[in-house]
Amino acid sequence: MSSQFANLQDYIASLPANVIQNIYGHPASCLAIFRDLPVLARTIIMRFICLPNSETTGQPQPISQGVVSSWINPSHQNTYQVISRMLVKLSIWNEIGTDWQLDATFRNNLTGAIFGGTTNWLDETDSSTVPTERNIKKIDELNLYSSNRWDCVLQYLVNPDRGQITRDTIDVFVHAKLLKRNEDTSSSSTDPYTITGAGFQFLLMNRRSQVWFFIINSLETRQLRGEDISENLIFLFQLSFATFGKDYSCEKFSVAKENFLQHLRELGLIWQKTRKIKRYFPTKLAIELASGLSASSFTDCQLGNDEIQSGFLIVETNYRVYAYTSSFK
Amino acid sequence: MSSSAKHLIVIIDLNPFYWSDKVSSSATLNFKQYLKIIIQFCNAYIAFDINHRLTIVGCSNNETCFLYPDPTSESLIIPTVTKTNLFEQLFVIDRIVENNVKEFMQNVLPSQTSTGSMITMAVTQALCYINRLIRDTVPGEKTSYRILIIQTTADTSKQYMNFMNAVFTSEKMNVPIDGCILNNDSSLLQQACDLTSGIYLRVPDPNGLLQYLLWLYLTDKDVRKMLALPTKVAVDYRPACFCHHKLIDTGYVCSVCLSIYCDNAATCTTCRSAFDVNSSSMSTASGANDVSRRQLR
Repeated sequence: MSSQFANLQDYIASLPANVIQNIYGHPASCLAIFRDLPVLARTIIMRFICLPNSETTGQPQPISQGVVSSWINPSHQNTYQVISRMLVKLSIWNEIGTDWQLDATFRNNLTGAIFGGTTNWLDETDSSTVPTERNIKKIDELNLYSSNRWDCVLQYLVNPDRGQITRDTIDVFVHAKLLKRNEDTSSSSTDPYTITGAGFQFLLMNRRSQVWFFIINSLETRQLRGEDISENLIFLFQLSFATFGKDYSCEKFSVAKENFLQHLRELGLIWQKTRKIKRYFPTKLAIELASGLSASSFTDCQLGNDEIQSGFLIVETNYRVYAYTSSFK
Repeated sequence: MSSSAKHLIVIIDLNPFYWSDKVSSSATLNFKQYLKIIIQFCNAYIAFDINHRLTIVGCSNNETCFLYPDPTSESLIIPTVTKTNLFEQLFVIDRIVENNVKEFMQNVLPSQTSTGSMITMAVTQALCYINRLIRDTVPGEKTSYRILIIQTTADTSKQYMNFMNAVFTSEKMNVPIDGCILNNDSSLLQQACDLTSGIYLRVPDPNGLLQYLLWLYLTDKDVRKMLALPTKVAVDYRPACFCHHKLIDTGYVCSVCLSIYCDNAATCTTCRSAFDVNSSSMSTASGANDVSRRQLR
């Protein structure tokens, strides 16, 4: 049931309309989704945002489709058509007669995110817990923690009986068809689950895609259980804009959100000293999640570089070069 | 697929002489609004794309200063970011620029001979900065640069030589220069934009400055190909003579170093080659990439 959502837009477009409206209620999600759109779409939306709301209705001003297509060079009209269809699917704009009208919630929150609005970004209040020296985490410790946790999760896929992960995560794996129940009761192994072919493919993906795939399936599992995922999605978007190395308060979280926070903590997206201390640190995995999904292998190299051992390069005067490296594992 | 960062350097004209002299301009924009618009544009630029990088250079009538990035201030501001309704990074940028502009304006000396802005100085500083960044590039990272100049004061032809040198350098480095001027047309800026394939705009209504900036200057070359942009106007390519710094239509050109003079001289001051005073041939003064020929007046 979970199809391979290649990027954020396809996933958002697949959600029901009321969830999408909820998500657009927060500036972080609007900005994250905005950033993920193709460049031409962003340019068009930016132009729309400049225009003030219509005086009579207080809603965003509709602009005739002819005018919008005149902004685009005739040679790129096809791209424009593709983009306009995508924006309709994402409910960012609607067709009113022969005009395009930007969705009011989306517009207000995007403007708020960029130019300052009224919704507080982080729901931070003057908390009584001031970050003390003991709680401050260094960046390499955070990186180490997140890679350890994620490796733990992946280990479980390979070797299910050595697992130390929660029921929740196992459910997600089963839902994503990366694990299947072992029905062979006559076998001597005591593993309740075995990895599937798709599971192997998952192990071979790069880290960011793995995290993304896993999070989508986790959200789908929760959706099936009847939970409202818009809060969780908004929280994920907020995380992706956080400053690395800084901690945030989680005092005012609802039960469902706290639950999700612990789930992320297990995966290595968040570091929290103990459950009692109401402050958490986002790790690199979380920050890269929604920001620039379709991007760079460069940052992947950065993550990979931490693991590459230093080798030797020897240049002899008889023009011979020797390189000693570890074989890529 | 390596990452490609897009770096924009914004050069802001903060000359106090323009803002104090309201008679010459019919603008209803005051200095505070002007700054606010610039900051909003910078915010929109950063929010637009994760690969966008920004540097802001401010210039007044006697000096320039890098307003952003400022690593020392950044470490001071980050811990205070909790209660904000802006995307955090934007909040940091805003505070840093605010502090630096305050400092910069306090150091502006009122008594100077010229009222023109040090745009040339800012452009050359920006180009040196770009050069350093290019050298520091990690292999596998492609960065494209461009410069945006927001000018308020009129040109002084004294700057012609240095400015054109800077423009040719930037053309060689493949850095487009975009220009936006609030006052009257500036031929120097027009030439710069034309030579480096940037966009030039004379803002007709300063109240709409933000809209013009957001509509035209957020995107770089690749995206501009997809958009329908304002057509180019005829550019005034008159050069300034090297002796008096006046703009001239016709003059004398040294055949060795191509310096331009308005009057017949015995030797060239740049390359010290002697001129043949008896020769009556007079070449029409032309700009470096001039296509049209001008009539002898």
